[in-house]
Amino acid sequence: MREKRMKEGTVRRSALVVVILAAVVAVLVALAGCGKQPADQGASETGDQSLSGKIMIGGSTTVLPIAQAAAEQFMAANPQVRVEVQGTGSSEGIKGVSEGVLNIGDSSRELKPEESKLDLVDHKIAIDALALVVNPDNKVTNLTKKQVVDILTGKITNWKDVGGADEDIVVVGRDEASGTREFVQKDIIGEDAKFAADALALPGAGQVKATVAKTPAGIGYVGLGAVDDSVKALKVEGVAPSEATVKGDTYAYHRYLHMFTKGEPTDPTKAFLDFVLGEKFQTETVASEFVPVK
Amino acid sequence: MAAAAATAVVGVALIFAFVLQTAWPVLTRVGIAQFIFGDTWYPTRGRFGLLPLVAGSAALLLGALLLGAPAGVMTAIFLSEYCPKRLASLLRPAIDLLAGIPSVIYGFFGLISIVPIVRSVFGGAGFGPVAGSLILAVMILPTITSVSRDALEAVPRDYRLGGLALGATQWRTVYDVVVPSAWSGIVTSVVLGVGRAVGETMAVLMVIGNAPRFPRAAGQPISALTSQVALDMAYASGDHRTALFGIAALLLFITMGLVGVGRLTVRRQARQGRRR
Amino acid sequence: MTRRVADWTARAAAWAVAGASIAVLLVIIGQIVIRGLPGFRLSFLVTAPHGIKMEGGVFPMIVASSFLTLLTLLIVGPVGIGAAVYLAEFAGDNRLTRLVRFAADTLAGVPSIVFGLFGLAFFVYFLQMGYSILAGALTLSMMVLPTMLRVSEEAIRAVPASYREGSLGLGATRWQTTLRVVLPAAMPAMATALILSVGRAFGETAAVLYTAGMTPSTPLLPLEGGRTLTVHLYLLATTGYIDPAYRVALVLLAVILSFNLLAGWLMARFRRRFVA
Repeated sequence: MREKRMKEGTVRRSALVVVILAAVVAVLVALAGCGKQPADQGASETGDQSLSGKIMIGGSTTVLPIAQAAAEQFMAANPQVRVEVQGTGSSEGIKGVSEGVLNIGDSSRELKPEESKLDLVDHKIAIDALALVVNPDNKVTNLTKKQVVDILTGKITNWKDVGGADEDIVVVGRDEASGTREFVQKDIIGEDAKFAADALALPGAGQVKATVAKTPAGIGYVGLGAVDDSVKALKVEGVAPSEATVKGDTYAYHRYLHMFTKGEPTDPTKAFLDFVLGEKFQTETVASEFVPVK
Repeated sequence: MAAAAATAVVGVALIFAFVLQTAWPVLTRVGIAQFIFGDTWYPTRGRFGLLPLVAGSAALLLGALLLGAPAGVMTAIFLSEYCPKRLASLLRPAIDLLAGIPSVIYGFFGLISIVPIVRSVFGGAGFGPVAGSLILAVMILPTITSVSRDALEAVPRDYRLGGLALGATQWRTVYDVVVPSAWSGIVTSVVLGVGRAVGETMAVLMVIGNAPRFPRAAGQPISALTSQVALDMAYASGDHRTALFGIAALLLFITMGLVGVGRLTVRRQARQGRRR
Repeated sequence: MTRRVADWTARAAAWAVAGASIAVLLVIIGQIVIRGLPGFRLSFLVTAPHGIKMEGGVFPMIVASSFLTLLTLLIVGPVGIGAAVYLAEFAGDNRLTRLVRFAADTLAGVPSIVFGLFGLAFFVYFLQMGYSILAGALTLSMMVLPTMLRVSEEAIRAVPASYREGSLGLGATRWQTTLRVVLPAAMPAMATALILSVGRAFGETAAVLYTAGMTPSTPLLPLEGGRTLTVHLYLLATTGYIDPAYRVALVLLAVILSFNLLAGWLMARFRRRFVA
């Protein structure tokens, strides 16, 4: 009995030692790796045939699905390249690329004045159109730009003031990290205006859509790509949002999506950007959610 | 060995030092009083007043406690006093499981099931203090239940037998003898529940609507200290970023306060134990 | 007569409240199983998400969650057990142990989002680890260290004194006794501690969102980023892909449940050995 226990003890002890050793080794390996920068240092200089290395991409959650799809396809074609994509918000993307943590910073907004000194190169990769969505049962189908601003800033608080039912308007907005909200702030209500104080700040376009779909008095803003039958997209100044009206510049609310690099990109980042801007990717993938730039 | 033990101390020191150091500029510039009692949180406009967020967190906590604490303690009383043994052996792991469910699942459940119910009952969009409190109540219930239950079960059987022998009903025995004997354990359980409710982030973020305003109606959005940090840390820079560290510092001090309260009750319990 | 009524009422209330608490658990789990199970294919577990709408499976997330949890375990296991051995076997009640206990209690109560914020600023930016499994694991290690420490310490203290006396009596040194007698005897309970810590790490969202990141590629090295199952669930739920969200919730629940069952089983074995 005692012998058995002793033996068990020995086995367990060696297991413990192994675990501790493994941990030490893991920590050492990890720390050794720490010194490395996630830069292009693995990049090959011999051309497209043998691209290798790691591309770190981060930033706008609006750009995230494009960047992700591009990463998948690009990695399939260039197995030696590893592309990592994060969706952390435009500002974090710009910060990351300027500090060297990222190779590409995705943004759904232009650079702020204080960011223009960071030596970032702008690559416009798609056009995002913004749709104002309401509950399908809402009688209102069209708003003027002025009405849109007044509703979003809380000056108009009842649907009857814009030709709808006598109901308090529920503004379903996005969180401040969202590029979509920044777009609305900057290009629609104006940099100095404040959103309606009671506006919701939900962390995803899907939540905005789902909430508007079930809230009779709701109004929200989402990218044109996210609009489906569960909500109704409003006309603005009589123009319905669509690819044609966006490209023709008759629909008011649209913006460019960007990928920023620190200085001119080098391979494999350069090859990746060429791929994103290539006709195949633009027409097959970008076009399914956004409006292609080409 | 001692080095390993010291790691915990170093960890806490590191977090405190780093958080306070980063938060310092905004605390001194805005002023600590203005930071905590300022009535507007609009960081992109340089307004760093935490009061709406503090009020939001407090409202959520209050609602969660009103619902979750009595339910949790009552469930604990049920498990230790009324529940048939065999059923109890099934329910205990179930309650433990409830405690182990990731908060993002609670948030998801709240978003899908509770927000629509609040919306249809109270109007508005449904995101707000009621949805948040309901979800938090469910989340703190297992903590309160299991810690209270341990305290109740630690009460010697003689106490119960004594009560019953004196002719008291089972409920009077529980109410007048068992619960008072386990009182400090029950208080501890509620303190732990408070800690969990104040610190919860993801579940709250998904159901309260995140508008940094004072709580005013069941279906109107509010924001909380933790969820605001989670929402803003993705993009905050400059003073805004340091303000988030200010919130983190406040949360750290709240935590330390709760740990202090917890130790006080334990110490009092020990004293009472000796007196007995 | 009234006291009989009161007694009966209390009994009914205890049953009702406990029943309601259990019902909530059943509703949450039931909803996830009912909505998640239909359309669940094994391919969901072994394929990667693809395309602009995040269709496909969650293989990279399973890898990321497991990798993160394993690395956390490797970091926190030795430190936690080492500290526990020190506290339980070698240190008396000195200044360091009091400090360690207070630090551990504080660390245990710190909201996970504070760890997340700290991790982002310290590991990701200050130490230049970038969004990586390593940064996430270090953050999580700080978070789960107190659990690990406390449960391990209890496990070691639960080993009967006669074991130590026997070993010391046979001429073994204190160190030999600890390593060959006490630790092996406490092993099952310490394994439970590990599993509990693992469960917490696996289910965490707020602390890993901005440390491990959210890239949906499969991480193979500690310095690569990854998206955990919890973060994936959060993103799916907020972006509006509800059906896959249910499936991810189901996977998470299954994993947490198996952790709990495993921990319960180990603990039962431990108790049998010492209590019987």
